[in-house]
Amino acid sequence: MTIIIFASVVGGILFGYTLLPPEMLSMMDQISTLLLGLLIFSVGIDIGGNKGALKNIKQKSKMLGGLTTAVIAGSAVGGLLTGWIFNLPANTSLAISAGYGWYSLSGIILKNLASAEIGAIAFMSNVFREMMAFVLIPILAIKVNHLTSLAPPGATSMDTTLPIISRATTPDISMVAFLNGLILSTLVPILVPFFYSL
Amino acid sequence: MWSIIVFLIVGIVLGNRLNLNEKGKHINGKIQQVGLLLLLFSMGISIGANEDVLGNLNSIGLQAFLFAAFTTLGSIVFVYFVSQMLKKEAS
Repeated sequence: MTIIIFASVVGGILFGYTLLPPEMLSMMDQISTLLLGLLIFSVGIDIGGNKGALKNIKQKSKMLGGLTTAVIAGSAVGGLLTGWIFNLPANTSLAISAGYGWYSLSGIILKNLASAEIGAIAFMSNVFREMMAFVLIPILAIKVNHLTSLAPPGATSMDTTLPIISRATTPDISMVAFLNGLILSTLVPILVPFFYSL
Repeated sequence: MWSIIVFLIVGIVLGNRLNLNEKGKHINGKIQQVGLLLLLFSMGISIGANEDVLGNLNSIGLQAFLFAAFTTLGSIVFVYFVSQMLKKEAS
């Protein structure tokens, strides 16, 4: 599974870099959006068909609260560590870490607040984070546990990585993943400017 | 973002009403698998064709990569601790 995922992404990147006519780029975005909608719909059918999806709400909300908090804290620590390596101010490092994989938004916010370069770093690092999530989710789900497999994707666990999570885990965990992604996505436009203002 | 929520909710309601048998679930799983690979391929194309991405790779690639690696690693360590705490609490 992981190898096929990796090959699809890398194959796409190479194809887009070398062969794709530039005028087709906006069409590709439309195709991705359409495919994503179809996939999320199909994940919804999985969740809805699972009679336990609305049971154990208490256990699930505990998992959700712990997961989202841990992703925010873990990303902040990782961001500070990276900033320390490159001699970046702590507020900038924290702001970059608060993109949680949502590259388009965090990149634009920091381009406006900080500089084109910081915006580009935020953009790229969150592209990388999403790509790492594609590969790590199935590995962590098998080798560690299902909850830990939801650590890498961050905000993307409500959309682009949700289909992978659905394949690699259970409908119950997919539900937690979706809500985690929804909360983190809502927090990105709040936390990125907040951390930067510190 | 709103369209994603709508797609998911319509899917959940339909999945609940349809009550798919094992064969139906299997077909739905196959659709997901094929759709997922097409999605990843098309997202890869968008990234590869985006000049902002590859144009910046030389100057800031390492910084961006390490930000991604360490925020991911930090999240994994913290979430792993949470998963162990929840496991202990459950037993």
